[in-house]
Amino acid sequence: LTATPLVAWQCGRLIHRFFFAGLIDIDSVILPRKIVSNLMPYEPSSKSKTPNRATPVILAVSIFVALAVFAIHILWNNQISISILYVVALLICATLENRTTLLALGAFCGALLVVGFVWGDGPPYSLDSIARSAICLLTIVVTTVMLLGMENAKRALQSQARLLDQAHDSIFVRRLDGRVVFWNRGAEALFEWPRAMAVGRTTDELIQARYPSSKQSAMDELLKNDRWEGDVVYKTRSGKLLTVASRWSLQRDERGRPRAIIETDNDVTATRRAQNELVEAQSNLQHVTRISTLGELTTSIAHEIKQPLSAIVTHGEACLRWIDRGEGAKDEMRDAISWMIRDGRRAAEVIDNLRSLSKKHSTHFQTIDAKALVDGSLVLLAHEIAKHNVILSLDVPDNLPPVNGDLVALQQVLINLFVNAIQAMADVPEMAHRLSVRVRAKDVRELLIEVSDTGCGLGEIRHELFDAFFTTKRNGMGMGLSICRSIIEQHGGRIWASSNDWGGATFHFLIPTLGAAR
Amino acid sequence: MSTWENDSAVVIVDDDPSIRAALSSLFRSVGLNTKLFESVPDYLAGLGSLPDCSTCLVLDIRLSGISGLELQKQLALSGSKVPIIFMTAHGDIPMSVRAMKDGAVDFLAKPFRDQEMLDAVTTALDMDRTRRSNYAHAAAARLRYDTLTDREKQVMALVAAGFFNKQIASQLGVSEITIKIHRARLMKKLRATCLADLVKFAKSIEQSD
Repeated sequence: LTATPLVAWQCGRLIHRFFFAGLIDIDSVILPRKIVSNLMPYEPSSKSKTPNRATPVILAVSIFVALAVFAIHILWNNQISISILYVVALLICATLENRTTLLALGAFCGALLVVGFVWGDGPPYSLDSIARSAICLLTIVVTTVMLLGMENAKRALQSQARLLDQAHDSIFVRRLDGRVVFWNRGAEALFEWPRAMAVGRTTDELIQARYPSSKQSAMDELLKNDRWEGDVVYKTRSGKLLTVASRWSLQRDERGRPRAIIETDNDVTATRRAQNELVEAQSNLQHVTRISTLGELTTSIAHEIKQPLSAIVTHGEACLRWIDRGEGAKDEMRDAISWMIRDGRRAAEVIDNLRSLSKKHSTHFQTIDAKALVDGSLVLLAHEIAKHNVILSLDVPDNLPPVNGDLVALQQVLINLFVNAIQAMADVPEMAHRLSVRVRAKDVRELLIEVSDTGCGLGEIRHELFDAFFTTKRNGMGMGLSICRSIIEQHGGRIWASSNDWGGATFHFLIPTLGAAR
Repeated sequence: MSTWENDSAVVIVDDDPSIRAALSSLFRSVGLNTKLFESVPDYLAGLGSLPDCSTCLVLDIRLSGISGLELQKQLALSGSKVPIIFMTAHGDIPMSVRAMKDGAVDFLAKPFRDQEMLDAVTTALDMDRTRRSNYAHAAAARLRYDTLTDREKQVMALVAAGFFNKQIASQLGVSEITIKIHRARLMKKLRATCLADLVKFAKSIEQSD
C-alpha cells in the first residue's frame, strides 16, 4: 500500500524517459512520431488552428477510464485498491499536452475518489479505508503535479526547437554516418530539400559537399575538438553550388561517445565572390602599376641585359682570335668560355626577374629571406642607380628571420620605393645621392625595412602620400605608394614615411616574420 | 692593322668584371698589354704604376661614382692628352656628341664588333705614339738648343727667318766672317746638315716655347 506513490513516481520517470530521452539525444528513432511532428511543425501555425483529431477520443478514453475505476470502486466497495488506477486516466490525458484539461481531469479524478469514498465506503469509515483513500488522493495529486511539470519542460523544449527551426541559418542534425535527423526551415530554404525528404537520408545523397581539404580531416578535427569551422561548397537540390560558412559541433551521449553533429550553415556565396573579385581587382591593379614601373625602367633593364650580352660577344670574338692564333691558348679560351656561361646565366636571371615581375600572378605566399628580397629588387635597378650617380648603401644582416610573403609583391614595394627615392634625388642634383637600405629584426615577430634617400624630402605631403591618385610627378598615376600600402597591409604589416633630419625621406615598413605568422 | 709593339698598353676602366675580362682577352689575343681598373678612383690611384709607354684608355661612359665623361674632363684639365675610347651599353647620342667634342677617339655602343674596337685602339695608340715621339723630339731639340750661346741663338733665329749672312752681320754689327763661324758652329751643335734642317729645328723650338 505504501508503495503506491513510489510506483506512480517510477511510472512518471519511465514516461519521462520514454518521451524525452529521445528528444534530448536528438535521435528520431526513439522519438515518437507525434512528438517529432509537434516539436518540428512543418507549418508553425497548424497546431493552433487545427486541433489534433485524436483529442476528443483521448479525452473520452481517459474520462471513461476514470469513470470505470469509479464504478469498480463502488461495485467492489473499495475492497481492492482500484482507485490507484485513476493515474492511468491521467497518464492517457497527459498525451494531449493540455494543462487545463489535465488539471481538470486531475480534479475530476480526485472528486470521483472522494465521492466513491463517501458514498461507497461508509459510514462507518474504517481506518484502513480512510488511509487507502488518502494515499490514492495523494497519488493523484502527485501524478497531476508531475505531469504538469513535465508538460512545462516539454513546452520549453518545444519553443527552443521552434526557435531552432525558425532561425534564418540553416541548421541540421546528422548522425555520424551522415543520416539527417533534424532539418530546419533555414536548411529547407537553403538546400531546397523539404524536411520530409531530407530526414532519414544522408547529406552525401542530398548535398554533395566539397570540403576545403577533405571530409576526413574535418571529421578528425571535429572528433578532436568537438567543433569544426570552415567554408564548404554544397550542391543544392536544383544543382546550384553554394559556398557556406559551416560550423559543426559534436553531440556526445552521457558516456562521451559521439552521437550526432549539429551543423549550422551560412550562405556566403555572394560574400566570397565579392571578396574574390576584390582580391582579383587588387592583383590587377598591382600588376598594372608593376608594369608601369617596369616601363619607367626600360633603359635600365635594356642595360642589364645588354651588358652580359656584350660581354659574351666580346669573349666569343676574343676566343675566335685565340683559336686562330693556334698556340697553346687553352687557358685563355677556357676562361673566356666560363665567363660566357656565367654571363648567359646572368642575362637569363635578369629576364626571369623581369618576367616574374611583368607576369600577372595570383598571390602566392612563400618563405622569403630578406637579403634575397632586397638583392632581387635591385637587379633591375643597378643601371638606374649608376646613371643617377647614386651611392647605394646596404645594411642587411645575414641572420634575419625569414618572412612569409608574396615575393613579387614585396619586390614591387621595394622597387617602387627605390625608384621614388632615385627620382627624388635626381630633383636635387647639387646634393650627394645616397640610397640606404636597412633591414632589422624589430623583435622575433616583425622585420623592419627602411629605405632612405637624400632627395627633396616630403615636406607637407607626408600624410597624403599613400592615398590613391596622389602624385607629385608630372606623368604619375598616383597608384604606386597606395599599392605599396595595400600590399604591406595584405601581409599584415604597415608602412609609413618620415623626413630625415639631414634631408630627404625615409620609408619604413614592418612585416610579420614567419615565426609570428605561425 | 699595324704591327703591335710591346711598348704599348690599353687601359680598361669598366665596372663590369666580365666586360673587363673580355676586353683584356681580346687585346691580349692580338698581343697588346692591358691594365684593368674597376672605377675612376681606382684608375687615378693606379696612374703611377702604369708603364711609361704609349697608352690609350677604353672607358665605360657610365660608371658608378665618377663617370667616364667626368674623368675625361679631369684628365683634360690636368693636361693629360691620353686618347680615350668610350663604350656604352645604350646609344646615348647627346653623351657621345659631348665625348667626341671633348676629343674622344671613338665612341662604341655595346655590343661592339671586335674589329671596331681593335681599329679604334690602333688609331688611339698610333696617336699616342706620334704624340709621344713628337714630344721626345721636341725634348731632344730643346736639349741641343740649350747648348748654344746667346749669340748663336740670335744667329740661328735670323738664319731661320731667311736673312743672308751679310744682312745678319750688318744687323748685329759684326763682320760677315764672324757670322759664318757662328753659323758653322751652331749647325754642328744642332747636328743640322742643311739649311732646311735648321729651319725645321727652329720651328719646333719656337712651338715648344
